Amino acid sequence: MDRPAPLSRLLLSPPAADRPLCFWKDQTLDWGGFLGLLGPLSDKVAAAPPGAYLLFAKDSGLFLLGLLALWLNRKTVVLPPNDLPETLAELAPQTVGLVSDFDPPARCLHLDLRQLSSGAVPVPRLLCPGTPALVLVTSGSTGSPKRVEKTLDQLETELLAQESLWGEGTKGARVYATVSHQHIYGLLFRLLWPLVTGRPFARFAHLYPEELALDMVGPSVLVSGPAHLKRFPQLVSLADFGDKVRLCLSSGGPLDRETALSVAQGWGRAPVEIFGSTETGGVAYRCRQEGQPERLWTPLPGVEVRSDQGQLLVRSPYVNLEGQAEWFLMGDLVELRPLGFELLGRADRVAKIEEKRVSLPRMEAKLLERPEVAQAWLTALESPPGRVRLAGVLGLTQAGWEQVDQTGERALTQVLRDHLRQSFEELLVPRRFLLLPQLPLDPQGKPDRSRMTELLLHPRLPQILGRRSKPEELWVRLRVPNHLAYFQGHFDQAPVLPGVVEVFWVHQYLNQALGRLVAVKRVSGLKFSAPLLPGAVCELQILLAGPGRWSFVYTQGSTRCGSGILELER
Amino acid sequence: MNAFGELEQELKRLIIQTLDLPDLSPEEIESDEPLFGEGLGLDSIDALELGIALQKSYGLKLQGDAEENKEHFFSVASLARLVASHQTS
Repeated sequence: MDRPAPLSRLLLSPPAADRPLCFWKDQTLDWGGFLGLLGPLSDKVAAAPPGAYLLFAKDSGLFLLGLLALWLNRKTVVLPPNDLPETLAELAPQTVGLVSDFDPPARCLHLDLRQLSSGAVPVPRLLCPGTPALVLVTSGSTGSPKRVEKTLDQLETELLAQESLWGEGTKGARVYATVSHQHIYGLLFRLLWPLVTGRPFARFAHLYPEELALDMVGPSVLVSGPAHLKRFPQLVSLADFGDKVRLCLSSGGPLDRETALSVAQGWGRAPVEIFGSTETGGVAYRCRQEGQPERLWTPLPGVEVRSDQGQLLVRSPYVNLEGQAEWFLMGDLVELRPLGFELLGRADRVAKIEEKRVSLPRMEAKLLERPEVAQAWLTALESPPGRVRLAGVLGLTQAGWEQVDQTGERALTQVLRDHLRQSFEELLVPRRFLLLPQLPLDPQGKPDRSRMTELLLHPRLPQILGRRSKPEELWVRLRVPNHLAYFQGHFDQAPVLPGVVEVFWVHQYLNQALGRLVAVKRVSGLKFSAPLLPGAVCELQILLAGPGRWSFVYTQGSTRCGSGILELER
Repeated sequence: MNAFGELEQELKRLIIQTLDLPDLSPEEIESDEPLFGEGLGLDSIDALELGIALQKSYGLKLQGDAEENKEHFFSVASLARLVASHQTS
């Protein structure tokens, strides 16, 4: 195929029946077989009520059947970003039914892509989708999920532009992917672009590079992103792919320079990075190579960019224009140069975790739904190096602390994580939570971000595993965090808990138990007989020893680690 | 503790270290509990990271069969069996 077929006319004169459309392992589905399945499905869809339908399938072949059947019959396609029950429930009121290759989580009009029958091919005709043709659902910057509408025209225009850039040298190549077609990048590059340009595509995403290395046959295009590419060179030898990868695309976030260069070296061609968003489609691209100056992002054909107070504005034929606005404001900070632009980071509170965009205010709102949580603040944290995850600082309610005392911090954070799992993918669920009586504030009275980030990386208080208090006695079971701030320099080779910190903690717990800040008048009888190491689990007992006098002892099993007496100001 | 138990212990430490699970100690990971989904809650990127760590620590390279790899990564115990069979072969 020399020129890509316009998407809308694809079924007016479909490719020959024996042309391969898609494949998995050694099985191929050709156009004849595909159209034989599409005919009966399209008839079923024609008889279904008008309106918008949710479409989700893991198999890109089945997904395409659903997509085309809906588009042949004046239906709007709504793509949920994932198949979580809560996501589907949230979108259900805006849609008539669900087209999927799994059982619906709730009762609804369901067209099952696993139960297809072969029959007559559809009558050749133009695709005639509803208005809009497509709705993508993405994490908006304001907190609630955002609907992004697309027409066939917009998709078609972008496909032509992409083919003009990457078509040469990849004619007839097979298209493999590590990303999902439920998002705009995967939809365009692993499904629609191969579809209209006659390149066979893999029906499933390859999540493991080892499997991809084994499966890849002949000249290929790989549609991937930084999450997978940066781990490729460590898991497989890039040389195992020979010269099969003729084009490696990466999108979802910037690829680090080291990965870009090692892919360029391993496959003989630098990966092509595409920058864009659900709202705008593709905006710009770059391709970095050894020995060349760092390349700027080059706008795609037909795309114009400008900046307003450092924030990127885009005008392009593939942008969904909201209202009459001509320029689309992106959430990215930018510096314009004569031949392109440089990206400087995000301007809003949207984090990107392994290419998945997540609105921090939305997740914070979810956490606040729980009775244990009074305040929530989330941030993206790099730990260990190379791995960015979300982490949270929480101010707990009375009920929250009561649960910590009874079951420990981990049981509570597990409940919170389970709650988040209903609405967010596992990758996005924070692993690290710091629990505080309240969030620290900066001098302006706003949550002190740098302080909270510092505390997340290097906490100052132990993790509570259980706690009991009586008027004259306080008992805490605790774990000394591995990343405790006080291990820095104490000592680099063999960290031990400084004795003064043991005293500090006793003072903290006394303040909490007494419900007020009380100064220490004198400390006496200190004895640190055994060291507490990172990760140590121990018990702290604090007893009233006389008016204003509190004795404390840290024990690990039968070993006394530290003890002494604190005398408090009245 | 027998050699296999020690290997499981070692893998638990490796998992905590590799995946930065700050509020967890090796004793709190059950050898038979699922690592992914409902159990420990690891995700697909964690699987890649663990693959890299296993390669670095044991010189163990996973094969291309996704179904088999899924079984190997089911729990600490199944990972330990994989590492042990690699060490004796």
